[in-house]
Amino acid sequence: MNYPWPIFDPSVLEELDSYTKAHGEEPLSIELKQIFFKRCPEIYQRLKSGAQVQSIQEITFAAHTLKSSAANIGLTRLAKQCEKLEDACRARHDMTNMLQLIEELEEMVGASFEALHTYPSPDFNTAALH
Amino acid sequence: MYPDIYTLTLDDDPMIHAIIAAAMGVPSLSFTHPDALRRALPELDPIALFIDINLEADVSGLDLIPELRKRWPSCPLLVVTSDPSDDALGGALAAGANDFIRKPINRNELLARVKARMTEMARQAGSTQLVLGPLTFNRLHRSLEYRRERRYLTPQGACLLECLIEAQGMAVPRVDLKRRIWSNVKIGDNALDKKVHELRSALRELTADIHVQAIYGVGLSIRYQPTGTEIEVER
Repeated sequence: MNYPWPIFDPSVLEELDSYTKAHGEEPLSIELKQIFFKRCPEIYQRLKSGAQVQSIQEITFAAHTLKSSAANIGLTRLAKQCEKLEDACRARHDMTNMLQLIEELEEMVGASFEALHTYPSPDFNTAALH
Repeated sequence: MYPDIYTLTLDDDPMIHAIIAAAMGVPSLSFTHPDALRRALPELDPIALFIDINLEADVSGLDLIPELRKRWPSCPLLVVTSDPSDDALGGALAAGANDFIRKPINRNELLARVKARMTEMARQAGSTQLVLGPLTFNRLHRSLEYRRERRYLTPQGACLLECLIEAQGMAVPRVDLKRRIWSNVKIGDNALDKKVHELRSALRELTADIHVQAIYGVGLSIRYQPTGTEIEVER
């Protein structure tokens, strides 16, 4: 499937790293990536559990949380997909549509992890992520 | 033990705590649940508050805002939101929040909003600014500003600076400074020296033109001495 957004926008982490580098501290992206790697599977699990019991409230909350976390570190495609799911929940779309969006998310989470692992490699190639 | 100078963040996303701390350049005390923050309130004295109103599915930071505003009437309180059109945002502003900041957080926007709210609240509170040359000290927020750069002081550091600026270059005896900062609590010279060190460090980060001078047997004074002009030596 083709998406209009890149998997990863490294300029977001570059900007965040500049905050701590200015004070001679460790790049902020190291801490943020660790938080994301730990937290994302937990939120995604919550999303799937919500889908299993067809809890719109739980799916909305998990989608909202994952959207925010992904956007924080430049995972644009994942954030946009979560936003789509959150909007679908709020508009009370049928569950089949939501399950389809959640299924697409699973693949996107994997690709997002891979993209994050490449940052900040010196031979980082953003074009490969589009 | 809390750090000397800090902001306070209530958000269920630990990334937001880290980003706000890095963007503000001061530590941020992190809370993920309103109840934990409510319990800690009496011990806290932050320079700014960042509150997420959409926490867990059934938990909101909204109810806490009036309590925070009552506790710190002059502290900037910003709602952190990923959806500025959120209906709850209006409720948060009505409950006592001053402004909001969008996620993902942009440092320039964050700093501009905090500064604007501090200036606004200082204006509302009356004359809260002291000026020494191009240096502005905001008593209300314990902030020092010099040519768009800003640093924050501890409550005692702020009190020390206030005393020195008010003395308009005259030396203030150490005993008077200690009494003003710590009231009648018996404090050794070391405690005052630590605060002098804190103040000098903050000033040094901003400018080489303002000096806290220790005059033996007399006390301490503060002077604005632009670089290139000779510093007057007191005897």
